[in-house]
Amino acid sequence: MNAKTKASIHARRMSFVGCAVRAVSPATLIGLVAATCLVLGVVEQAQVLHRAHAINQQRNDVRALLAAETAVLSGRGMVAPSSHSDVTTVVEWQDELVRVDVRAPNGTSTLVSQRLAGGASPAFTHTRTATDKGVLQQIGGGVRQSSRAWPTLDRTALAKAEVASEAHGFRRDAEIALRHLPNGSDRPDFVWRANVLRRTRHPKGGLLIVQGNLWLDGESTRVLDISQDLTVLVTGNIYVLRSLHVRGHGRLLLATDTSEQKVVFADVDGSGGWSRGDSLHHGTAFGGPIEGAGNVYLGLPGGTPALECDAGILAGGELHIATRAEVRGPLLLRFGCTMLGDNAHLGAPLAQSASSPQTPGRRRGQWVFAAGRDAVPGFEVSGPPRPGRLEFRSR
Amino acid sequence: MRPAVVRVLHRSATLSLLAVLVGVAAWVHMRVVDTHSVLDQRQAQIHAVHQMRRSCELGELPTVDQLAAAESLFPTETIVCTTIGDALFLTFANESRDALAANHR
Repeated sequence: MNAKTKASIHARRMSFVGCAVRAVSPATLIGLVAATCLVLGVVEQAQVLHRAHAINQQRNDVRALLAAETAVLSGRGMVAPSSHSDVTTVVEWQDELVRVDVRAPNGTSTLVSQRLAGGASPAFTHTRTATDKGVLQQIGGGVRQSSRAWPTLDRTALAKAEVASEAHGFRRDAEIALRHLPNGSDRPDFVWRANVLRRTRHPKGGLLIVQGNLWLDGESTRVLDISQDLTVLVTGNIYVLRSLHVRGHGRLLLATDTSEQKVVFADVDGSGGWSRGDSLHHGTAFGGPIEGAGNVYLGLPGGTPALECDAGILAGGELHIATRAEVRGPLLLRFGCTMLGDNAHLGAPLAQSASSPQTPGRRRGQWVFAAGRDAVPGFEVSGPPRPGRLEFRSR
Repeated sequence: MRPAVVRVLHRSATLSLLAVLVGVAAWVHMRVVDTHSVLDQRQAQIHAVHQMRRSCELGELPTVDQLAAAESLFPTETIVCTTIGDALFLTFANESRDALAANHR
């Protein structure tokens, strides 16, 4: 082997990239770089255009919303385009709704809102409300509301409301109280089985009355899909023993009625009925049904270890918590809150929103009723008439 | 010309073209980044208006600064907060003068 051959064997080998660069001609190299730059540039431009289009759409939506609000408040049937804006609005006042068509150069949007006779009680606009400071400390804070300003039931709406015994999805169950409470109950017990309340099934006026106790029980989480706001008013007690998830556009309020002369007590021992040591809030000890009235139970001793409730709760009596509970709607406590057992805990509310965008099929987050812009079915409103919250019907 | 000179010229031209291409690509990229920052700003303004609207629904009056921030989204318009009872309405100023007339409809 001569020296030249040896040198060529031991010569440093060229890298793959080096080989590739030497193999391609300069014109090809420029072409490759140009093509890469072009593709990257086009992709970046496309992303920017897509994002710009989405943001422009959002801006148009905001403008449509503000223009609609302006037109509704102006009180005119037809609002001419302003000197600054190229947006035209047409307001149609219907019996219960206000419909606004917003015409802009880039398309027409339709928004609707309820016609409200007044605003709901401010108590519904907070995540936690109670009449007593001590109770608020117990549940981790909230807003104090005096008993005089407590939400009052709308007797006219009550007279027209549908009752659970005739409503879809409610079934009277003679055994459920005996299965869960040592002494059962004296009132009729209703179990809510329906998972979906379609528009055609939705109670007129959004109010449903349960003349007895209401039980939310079952093998697993109850999922309710409602298209409009619904108040379920219970004359007895409410027992939420499983998680309740609410989907759809509507909001659910579970309320107990203690406006009539009823016996209301805090079930300190969690027995489900009046017993020595329980604390009497209203009425005399002891007359009436053994389970009392107006109480709300989130779990029962020995029951599910945790539950989530997407509904708002107005407890006309005492709230009893026997589990790690989360309430995603407004929680209003007329009297107090009794923790049953060491596991009992009420989770702190999340950041609330009155109109967080609701994606169909997805659960709503923490919510409250909008201040002055919502009516709560079954409850009186106050103040002057006004349009409710505007929402897009079509874009 | 000698082949070596041609080769050098060729290589120089190639490098120059590559440099120009890289420069153009960098310029396009910078423009895209600039556009993204403008879009970020616009998105923040939209978010601010939504946030203010939600605050109104929760019964909280917007501050002057918040209103000014919202107005930057619509430079030719003035945004005001109108009240009916305890309800707060976010509207354009030019068409809300007779707002209370709506109460009596």
